[in-house]
Amino acid sequence: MIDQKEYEICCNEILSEYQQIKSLLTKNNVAICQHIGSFSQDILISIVSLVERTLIQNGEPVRLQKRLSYLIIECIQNIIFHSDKLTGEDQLAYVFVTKNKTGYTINAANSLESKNIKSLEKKINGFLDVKRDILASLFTNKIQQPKIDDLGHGGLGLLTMVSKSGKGFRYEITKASQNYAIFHLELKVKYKNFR
Amino acid sequence: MININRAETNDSPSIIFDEEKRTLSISGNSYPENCELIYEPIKAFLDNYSIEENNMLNFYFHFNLINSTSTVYVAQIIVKVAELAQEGLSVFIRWKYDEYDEEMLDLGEKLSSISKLPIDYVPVKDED
Repeated sequence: MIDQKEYEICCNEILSEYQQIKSLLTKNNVAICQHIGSFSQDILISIVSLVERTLIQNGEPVRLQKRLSYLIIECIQNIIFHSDKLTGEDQLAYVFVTKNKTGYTINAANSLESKNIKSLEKKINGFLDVKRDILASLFTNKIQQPKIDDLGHGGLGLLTMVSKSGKGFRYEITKASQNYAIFHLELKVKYKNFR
Repeated sequence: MININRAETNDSPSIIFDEEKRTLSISGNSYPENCELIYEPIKAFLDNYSIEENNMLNFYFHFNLINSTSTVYVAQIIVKVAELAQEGLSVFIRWKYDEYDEEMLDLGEKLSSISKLPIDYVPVKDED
């Protein structure tokens, strides 16, 4: 269990990053939806529904609507299933979806136990190092021998996010305290890819 | 026989098995918190399927949004169907997808590729 001091450090880092994104909002960079705190399946359903409605109202192409929805689902389920719990069952994370003239951006962050940093970096960098067509064949190979892990997950969430966001995928892991780090994620869905 | 029918929810698909038409239809969103509850009954249904009693089975898929874990389960189902087809089951698979959802079409093509089963792709126009 995390001690109070580490908990406060993680909270402050996630909160300050969330506030920073808020401070960058302008009339040309608007919030589509935002949530900070614990995440659940009900919250995911609400966010997907809200984003879908907004994209329809904005007249966005169906392909873009779907792409953004797929990424939001994988991003939030990654937080629900894989972010480390700080206190009991509570997670501290945020998801912020914004829109500007180039497209949509999902920013997210969640806490992570330091002992998991290397394995996560290795996994993501492995996906980022290969070309797009190789990612597609990695996905096909995975579903060719489809396996569900002991927790009931398919293990394709990160691969799906990297594959669907392409060059719009960025991540960073920053050490917050001795035992905890923050996993920052940015996923961009650009208009130019949907024209 | 295992009852696999389920009503659709915001995050899980409807599952209907029409015994008379030998058709299993899965449609709607599929990004539940626990995919096991949705798909394990279908896998059990296929595990216990008797080709001697009925050698024909149709599958109609029409997903709106699907998460990666559901994709793995659907792949497991398709692989199981391919095994039954090798044992003599006559299979027809229809993969409906929203007209502009190329990623869903691509997923259907990948499932056909891994299972070596032909799939009938049907683009669906927005009803709105």
